Amino acid sequence: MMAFITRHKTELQKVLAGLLGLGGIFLLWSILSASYHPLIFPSPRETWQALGDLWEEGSLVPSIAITLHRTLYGYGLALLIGFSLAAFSRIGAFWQALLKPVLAVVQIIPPVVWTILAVIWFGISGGGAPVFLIFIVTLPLAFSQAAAGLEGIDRRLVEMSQVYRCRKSRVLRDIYLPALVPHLAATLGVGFSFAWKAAIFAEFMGSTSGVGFLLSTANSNLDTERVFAWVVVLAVLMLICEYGLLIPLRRRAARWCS
Amino acid sequence: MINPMLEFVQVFREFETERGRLAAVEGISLSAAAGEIVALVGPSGCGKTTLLNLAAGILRPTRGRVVLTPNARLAYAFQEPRLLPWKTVEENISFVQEGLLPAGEAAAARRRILEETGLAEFRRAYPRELSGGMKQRLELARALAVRPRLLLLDEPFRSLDGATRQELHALLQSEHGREGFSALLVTHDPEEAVLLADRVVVLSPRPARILKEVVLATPRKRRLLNRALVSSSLERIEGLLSSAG
Repeated sequence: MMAFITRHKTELQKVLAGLLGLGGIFLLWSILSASYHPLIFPSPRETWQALGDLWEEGSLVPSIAITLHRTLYGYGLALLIGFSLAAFSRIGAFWQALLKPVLAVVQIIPPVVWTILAVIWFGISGGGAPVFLIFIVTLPLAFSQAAAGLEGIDRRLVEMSQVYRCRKSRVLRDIYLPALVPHLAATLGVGFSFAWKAAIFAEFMGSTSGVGFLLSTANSNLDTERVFAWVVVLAVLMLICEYGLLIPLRRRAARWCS
Repeated sequence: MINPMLEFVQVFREFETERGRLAAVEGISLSAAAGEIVALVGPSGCGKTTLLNLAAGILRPTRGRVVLTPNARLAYAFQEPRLLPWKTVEENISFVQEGLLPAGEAAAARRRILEETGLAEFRRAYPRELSGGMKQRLELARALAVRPRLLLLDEPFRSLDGATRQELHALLQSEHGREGFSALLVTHDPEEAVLLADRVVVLSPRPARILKEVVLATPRKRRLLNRALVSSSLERIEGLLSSAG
């Protein structure tokens, strides 16, 4: 046991510090909830009860699944188009000069404007509006990360492959793609959390299903306990995603490319 | 010379720099016959690597022509090993073999070269796990593993210790005996040039021009066994290099 503690001292210290931070939030929440009406600031116990209600109603898991599905769909599309456009922009300075300002304009327009347009264009009944919003807000990020990755590719390796007349498909698979992995991992980290927030925002503003829609319903009904319950669910989901998936993925990518 | 494997015809190469145009190669006419090893020696920065890059097609001449025998299989051992960090020793070799050699022939060549370069036990290691000298060996092993018709060697023995260098000189010699490739060898070491090459081309300081070509008549095997046989050629080349600055 002692040997394990000594060996993993730094990691254990980090975990303890993280738990201490979460404990601090919980303590502050408990103190504040004791000072305010549950309509303004429900206690952890009331939030837990609301969470139980959500579970019993059977709306918790399906709503998360709907939002997650939209997030993956919209963000996957943004990654695909963003990386393709970045690769396309490498063809020549003309295409780079053409694409950069277009994506800059897309990025400058506030998400709320895109949400309004998405609701006008796709309506609120289907999943079109959230998917569109996720796609449009994460596209410039995916493009810029892929462009940075392509910019950083070691030209000397590409020259080597040309000398040995390696097939283009192999060069793409064995030189370009691995060189893009760290950027892809970085994009996934920032981009996924961005996409998730965009999904909830879009569902909140213009959808009839998903986590954002249920948040909006709870808000309309002044059901603050449920709003807090969803905040807890979302925070736990993002922590699981960050520590269980994205951090190990970034570590693996860094090790692979070192 | 009938049908040279590689021929430079009045080749000039200039580079655009912030201070204007910089001539790196000036009027080089040079050829390597099938099976011939030509060494290029000259002061540091004189344009030796530029000549190899022109031969490899990485650079194009500003004027003149570089002619390679059509479909000649080319290999290049770069001065700084250009290895794929995410591939193992063996995968780095198979990456360049694919498309150049049939699978069975590629696997046999890979096994043999890994054995002969002492890399067999590191076949599953990644470049980051190898020392500088081992990476240099892998760079050479990869070039030899494609069974080239024309081999470009840019200081391939530079960061190796004396014993390993001699071992790899012998390997290059035996591979040349077996495969009969042509080679263009860039080296800063005149002794290495006279031991390994059939002809030594002495280059001027930048821009590279040919100062002298020294033909080595003694068979290479005998030279490697008795270095005294090349002492007069070596003295001539060293004299040319010191007078060239």
